[in-house]
Amino acid sequence: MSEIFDTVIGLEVHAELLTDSKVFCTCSAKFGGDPNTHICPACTGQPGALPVINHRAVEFAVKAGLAFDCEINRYSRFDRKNYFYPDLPKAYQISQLDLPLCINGKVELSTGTVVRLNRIHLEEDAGKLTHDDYNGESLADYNRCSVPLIEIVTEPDIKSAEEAAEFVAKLGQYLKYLGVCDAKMQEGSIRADVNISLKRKGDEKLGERAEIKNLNSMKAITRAIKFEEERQAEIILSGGTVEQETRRFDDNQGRTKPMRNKENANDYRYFPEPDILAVTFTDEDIEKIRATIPALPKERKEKYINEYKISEKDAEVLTSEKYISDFFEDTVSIYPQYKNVANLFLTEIMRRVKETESEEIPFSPEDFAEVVKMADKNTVNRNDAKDIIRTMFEEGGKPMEIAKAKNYLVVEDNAAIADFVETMLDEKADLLEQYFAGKQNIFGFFMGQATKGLQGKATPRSIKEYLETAIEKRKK
Amino acid sequence: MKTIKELRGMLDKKEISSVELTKEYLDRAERLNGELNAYITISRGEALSEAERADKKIAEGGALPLTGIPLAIKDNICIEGVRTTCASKMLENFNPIYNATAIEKLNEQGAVYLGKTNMDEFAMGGSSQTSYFGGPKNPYDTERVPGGSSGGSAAAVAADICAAALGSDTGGSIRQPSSFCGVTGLKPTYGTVSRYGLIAFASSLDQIGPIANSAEDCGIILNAIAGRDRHDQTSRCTGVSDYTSLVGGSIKGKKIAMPKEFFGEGIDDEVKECVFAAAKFFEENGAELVEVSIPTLKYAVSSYYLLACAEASSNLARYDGVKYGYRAEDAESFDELIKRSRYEGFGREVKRRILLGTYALSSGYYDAYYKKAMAVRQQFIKEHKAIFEKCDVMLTPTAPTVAYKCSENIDDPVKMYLADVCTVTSNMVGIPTVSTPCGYDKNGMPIGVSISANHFEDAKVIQFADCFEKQFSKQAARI
Amino acid sequence: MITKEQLNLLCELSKLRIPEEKLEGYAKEMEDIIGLMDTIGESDFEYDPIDMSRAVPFGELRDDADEVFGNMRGIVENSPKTRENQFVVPKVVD
Repeated sequence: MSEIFDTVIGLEVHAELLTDSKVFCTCSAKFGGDPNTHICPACTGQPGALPVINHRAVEFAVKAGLAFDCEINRYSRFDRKNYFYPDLPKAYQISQLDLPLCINGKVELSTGTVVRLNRIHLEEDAGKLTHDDYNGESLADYNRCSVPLIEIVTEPDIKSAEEAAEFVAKLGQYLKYLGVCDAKMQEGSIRADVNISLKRKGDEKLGERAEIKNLNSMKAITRAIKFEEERQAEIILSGGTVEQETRRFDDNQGRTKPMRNKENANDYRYFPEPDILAVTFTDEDIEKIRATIPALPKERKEKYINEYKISEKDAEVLTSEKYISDFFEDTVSIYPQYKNVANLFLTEIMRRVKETESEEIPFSPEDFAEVVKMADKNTVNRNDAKDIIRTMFEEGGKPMEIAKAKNYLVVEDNAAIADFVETMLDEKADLLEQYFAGKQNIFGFFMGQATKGLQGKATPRSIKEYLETAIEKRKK
Repeated sequence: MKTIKELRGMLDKKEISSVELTKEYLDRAERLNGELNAYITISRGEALSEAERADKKIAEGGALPLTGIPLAIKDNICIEGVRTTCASKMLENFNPIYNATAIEKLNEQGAVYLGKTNMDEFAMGGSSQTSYFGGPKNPYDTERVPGGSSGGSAAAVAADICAAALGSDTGGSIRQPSSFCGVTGLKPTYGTVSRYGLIAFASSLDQIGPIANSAEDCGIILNAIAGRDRHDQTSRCTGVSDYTSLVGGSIKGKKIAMPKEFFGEGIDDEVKECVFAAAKFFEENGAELVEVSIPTLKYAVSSYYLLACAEASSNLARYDGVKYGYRAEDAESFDELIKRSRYEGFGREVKRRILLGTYALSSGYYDAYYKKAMAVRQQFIKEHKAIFEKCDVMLTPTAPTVAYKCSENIDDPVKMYLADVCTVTSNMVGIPTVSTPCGYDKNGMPIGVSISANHFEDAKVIQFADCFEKQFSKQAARI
Repeated sequence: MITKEQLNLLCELSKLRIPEEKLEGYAKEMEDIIGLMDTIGESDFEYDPIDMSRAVPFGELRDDADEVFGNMRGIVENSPKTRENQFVVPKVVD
């Protein structure tokens, strides 16, 4: 960021897993719901209630680990992290310390930086607090308590705010591809803690770091890091030392601030969770999970560029999300005109899915393949094809039905051509004479008249052919 | 004083109805409870309607072993809608919103619950005198303690104010009061009975178990409550369908381990004599006594207390006055609310153990205390494994002494803790142990002998205890 | 030796407000108890974090099926203080 300092960033990213039930009880893990309507004895810490691990939550964590080249601990244990807070009904969070599910992964960024992952572990989310200033009260809703989270912890390999943002975006993209997280930052399903320190260029020694907690948008991540870089640089340059502390980012003011109070001396007294058994894996278990991993963006992009001959930029867009890439691939498997499919997809579909944010294309790859084919074969003209796609988005319907209803089908009605052209030439005999006398541009006039008069009944090509022959005949 | 087996016969032959039987127990319980304080709550209304339902079931010919049998339940086992206090001010008015799995299973049999029994607060103690509701008394001598923490359950069985009872055992809490009250108590193999709905003290050690008038009765109850439970991951499918199946089987040629460290200093001479006499009985009946050694026993008390309290400090962190239970008034901050609720809601012994457990886990002390205790636990497991490779069961005293006077010991935690030396290893290792009466001291106070076996050999300890009980003449409690 | 400062830290971690005048009594008790616990210092056994007796194969974990608990209202009603179906505490600040 500067001439003097290098920025050293490590991230802890929390991602909520898309399971049906919570990680340690059978309550629904769905987002939302009225306060305290997804709760049971276990997730509200009732006396005597016990946690029971969800198979799919473990599977998803391992799946994420495999996608990021992690090693999987064949014996993975859960631990209790003890602290008091009103959003944590048991007063401990079940997490993993010494033997997490996944260790030693990596993520490559477009800058060439390889971010090493220290670990991915499984843990439970906390509840939600709303604060009532007027009454001086906080209200606790435990619906989110025990929703499964994975925490992805990086080594301090990230060098800038941009890299941090790309890392989080890429993580979200991959987790969505894996189907383990919906990556909706606005709903808190991905959030990041940032550890940041500065180091004088050439120095080995890291400075003291600050931890910025709970950043829940890309913008917040970037802004918080940039603010922190400046703040720490100022302190160091004015001869001070950065304090090792936990800070939060104030979105309105665009600055980080020390957390006033976590009301805990930072001693979480981790110990092995005695209510839950450690999970063991066989090689077969791991391979079964690996087999559920779909082709990931990197692999797909390479295929699009090398086999489909699509530009890198377009391939990037087409692989940005799994449902997009899947739709594209399904379409080309039916109609393998890669570039033509890609072009209409990029101009007509991408624009609309971005506008609606619905992540749903309301028609099938078969339908889309048909539209591209119709345009290619001139069954409809290209602009009408685009309008068919618009109609399929807005009103639904099958491509052929729309084309018929809107009269877009290009018909070669030879009788109509003959009739129209012969009549025109009869009526405009004077102009024809002038053409024979050398006024070449009069052909264009005839062509224009005929195309207009024959719209929807013939293609310009057929009209031109007939017109040329007819004029030639009359020359004698 | 009748066993479940005898009561079953009477009920099935219609010599008595469950309602009549339940009334008899309730009347006697209500008459004696003022002096004994064995029950915190007597639920006459619920008990009688359960008995009515049971009578119907019996009339329809659908009686199961515990149908209509009046039981007492330790007050740390949740029964939906029935006040469950853990003998603590913290839960003085707490009504659980669900049934413990053990209760669900007893419900399936149509058992009757007379009430909830007194105990040490949160099961932390060996005298039951840390109860917020005042300590229960020993039916053999009401100036003495009934032991603990399941003191109310043991006293209720001994005083014949229930047919049998459920207790819980974290470091001896079923066996030691059974020994003090002259009844039979079984701590099953860890994982045999679901802990779901047992208000946790130390999760890796806690186990629900029966206290009854005979080892066979213990087996009948265990048959009902055992089994893998989807709500408790640490519960296991034991593969045993009848824990009384070995009752009456010969013990000829069986090997009985006698760990010498259990008969050393600190064990009363009268206790030793009685336990040796029990050993002699087995020897005379064809078993072979084998002296063995558990050298690590000297670390038993410290490692047990470190682990149990570490877990307890975390398990009891949920009591904060927010979700249920005692809430301090007029707190101005969350921090103040929970600190005051916890200070005011917990008794002194509970607070001591929370502090000790917090200490053992805190930064800088974890390796020296918690981790060392874990290592000792693993060593215990090894030493016991070696014993059960060559021996069938192990015979030990249940407690170093008979029941002491209510005025003794209670205020000296160190002395109290040391008295647990005979019982804690069974929990640390997770093996089944039964305590059954084997004699009485010069004051007529009962003495118990403990029989342990390898994991999931609960039927074997019942067999040995039953074998001993069949020739032992019990002296009834004086109350 | 358990100092008052150490005891105060333990009280902070375990959220127990012991009144000033009682601290000394607690400190003395804790010292005795920890004295007993210190005997474990002489033990010298290796702790193995991989304990197969407390493990479950991945394949035996419970299925991911959600279930509605029948008495959610009861959970909230057991609380000494609620509002709008939520648990109420004095306002926390971060």
